[in-house]
Amino acid sequence: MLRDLFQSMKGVEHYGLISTLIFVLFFSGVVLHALSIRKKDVENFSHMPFDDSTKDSDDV
Amino acid sequence: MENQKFYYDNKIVRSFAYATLFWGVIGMVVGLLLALQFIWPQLTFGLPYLTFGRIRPIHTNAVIFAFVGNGMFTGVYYSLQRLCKARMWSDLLSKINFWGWQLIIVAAALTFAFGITTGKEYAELEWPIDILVALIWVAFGANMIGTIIKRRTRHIYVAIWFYLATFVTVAVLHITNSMEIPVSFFKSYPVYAGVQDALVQWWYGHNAVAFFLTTPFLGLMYYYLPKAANRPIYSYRLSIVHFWALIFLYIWAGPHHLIYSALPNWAQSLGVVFSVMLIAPSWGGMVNGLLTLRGAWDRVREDPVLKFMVVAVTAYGMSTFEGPMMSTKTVNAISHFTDWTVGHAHIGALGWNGFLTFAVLYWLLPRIFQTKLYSVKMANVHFWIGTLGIIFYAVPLYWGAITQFSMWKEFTADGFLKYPNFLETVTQLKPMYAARAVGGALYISGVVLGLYNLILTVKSGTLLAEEAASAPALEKIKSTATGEGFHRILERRPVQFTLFALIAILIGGLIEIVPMYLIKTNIPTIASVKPYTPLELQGRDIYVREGCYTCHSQQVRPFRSETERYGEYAKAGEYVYDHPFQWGSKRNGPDLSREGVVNGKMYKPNSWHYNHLLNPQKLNEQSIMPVYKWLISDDLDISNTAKKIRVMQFLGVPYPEGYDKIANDDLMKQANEIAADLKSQGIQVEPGKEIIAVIAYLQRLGRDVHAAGSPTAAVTSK
Repeated sequence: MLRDLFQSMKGVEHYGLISTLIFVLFFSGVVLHALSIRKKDVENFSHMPFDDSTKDSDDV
Repeated sequence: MENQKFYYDNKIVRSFAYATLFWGVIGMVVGLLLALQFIWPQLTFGLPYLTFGRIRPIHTNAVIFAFVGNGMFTGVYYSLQRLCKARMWSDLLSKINFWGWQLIIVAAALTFAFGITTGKEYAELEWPIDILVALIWVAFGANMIGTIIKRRTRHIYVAIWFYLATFVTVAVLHITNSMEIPVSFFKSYPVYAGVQDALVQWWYGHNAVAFFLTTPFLGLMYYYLPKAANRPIYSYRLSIVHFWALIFLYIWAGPHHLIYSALPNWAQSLGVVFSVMLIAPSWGGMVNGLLTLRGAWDRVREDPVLKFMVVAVTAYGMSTFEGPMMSTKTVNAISHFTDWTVGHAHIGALGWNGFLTFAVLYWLLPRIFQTKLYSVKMANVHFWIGTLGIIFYAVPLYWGAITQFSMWKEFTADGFLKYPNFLETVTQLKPMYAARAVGGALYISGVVLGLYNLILTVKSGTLLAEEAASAPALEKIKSTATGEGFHRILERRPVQFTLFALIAILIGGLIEIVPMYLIKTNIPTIASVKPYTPLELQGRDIYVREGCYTCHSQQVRPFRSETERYGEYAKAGEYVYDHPFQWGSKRNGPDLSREGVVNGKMYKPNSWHYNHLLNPQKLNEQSIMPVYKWLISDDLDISNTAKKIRVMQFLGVPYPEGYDKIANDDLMKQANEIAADLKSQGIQVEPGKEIIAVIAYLQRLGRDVHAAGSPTAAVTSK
């Protein structure tokens, strides 16, 4: 059934537009999520590389 | 919660670091040999194992999968344990990953040297090694996900998101692009043909760049840059947007490698649109990296690690701007098939991957060996030699590309090509090729110096094989009780996160690839296009074996400058029996897709091909093509003809029922005709030699389309 649907698909030239719209929706969702994270959490997350539970050696 | 004591496994990090350095030197030296062959083609020493077509895949695979691949594993195995506050899930899987990966690299180098190849760029490995790659990759992924599951941190840091996306996407790409039917242990045909094969291959090829050379290194950037600069990433929010936008967009961009090809226009347009959109997340990542150094730029002056990182991130920004520009039709019309592509690729490889790898090694090896870097000064010298090497490598190639496309496209006032002989354009480029080799040699000198510095560093310290650490066990919480959103919950669940990333990348892949197979009008067939004869098929396999596609395209683009030079432009229907497609991506020599059109612009008699393959420089002193004298002495193996025909029939190539049984009769008949023709030209060669098959194949190229007469009238739908 899916095969028949694709074989008779018209308007493939609009794929670019449809695809861009899909991305814009996806992108908007991600941006909204990123903005919605609490500042305190963001700070904690961004400091994770510094907390590896070992005594870090000196810089080069 | 009780504090748990555990140990980070630094031995596996050390193993991968050593392998990175070892393969880096090998891969780059092979690259230098290739560069020198542009100036002295006799540097093959008449050996088949050293021809450009065979060692170019050794160079690309050694640099991408051996040097960068081992570098990636080094960085991932170190950072993942620390970001998860957990030892790797399985030491056995770590070892399987390491030794399996090295076995793959050795197998790749040997098989490519012996001409065992699928003939698809960056995916040249034959099917048994493909299976091994898939198994080892799964071992890596399972070990990584297992480690994340047993972690002692609540949140999964953004670097790990990139690692997960790398794992899942490379698995999908590799398996999809490696679908092939074996003829023997060392020979297979891809299930895809022609345009479809091209689309899948460049969907893979482009995303190998995206998900093997980019996403894991972005993960490394998000871990090692803050560590080296001793300050957190500039914007964690931006890193989230960077991650999702990048993985979603990248997967669509593959068709930009096929602009102006026979690929349907809608697919080309999708590739262009998404490539241009890619600038945004890519530059978001670059800006995030560089702004992390806010207030720490004074340290860049003294710290070689930061120097390497700054140039790496800048090179990433440059190539991710240049790439989308090259994918626009206007720029692609002039840049494609020229040395511009090579220059672009090396800005990314030498700058982004190479420099970030060395930054990670300079930062990490002194730490796991509990010592200081042996010589900061030497590392600084490495940095400057390497930077100069990149510039000396890229600038001549850009210059060469401008020369190339200008000469290819220039017409006289009377409307004829000003440089109708392709070789004239090659001759002009030789000084640029020499300068490029100098750039490459400089870069390698820096690498050797870096290697020496790191060896002395390692010798001055002792490996902290089991690094003690402690952290409280992770307390289980009910996600719903915290009132967090979907993504926050997802961020803590590696399996679900990986599946979500998989969905994000599959959307682009499916929308592009599925219609290509199912919409009939995408590949209009041409009535006059017939399957290759058995001799031509054998000749084609030798063409693939010798890697001819690394220098010759088989794709005439719809420009007057190309149709005047080569003949009729490429049509999708003419490639329907090409398993694999051989369109190529670079023209070090002329396009060959109209080589067999009698009285065509490219036509040459059998005797010319014989003499040319025997000694190209004898026909034209300036030629940079290597000699192929073994084609004249080596017997053509026809014991596998029947099997090849049966596999082709299985793939849908319409040979008559039972043709496999009589295929060799037809093969010998055609071979005798070619040998007789050569004899009439004064050339004595037995019909059972390989060169006869290669000539048969070359003389077939373009004939079917030409036989169709008006291409438009001959195009029919299946």
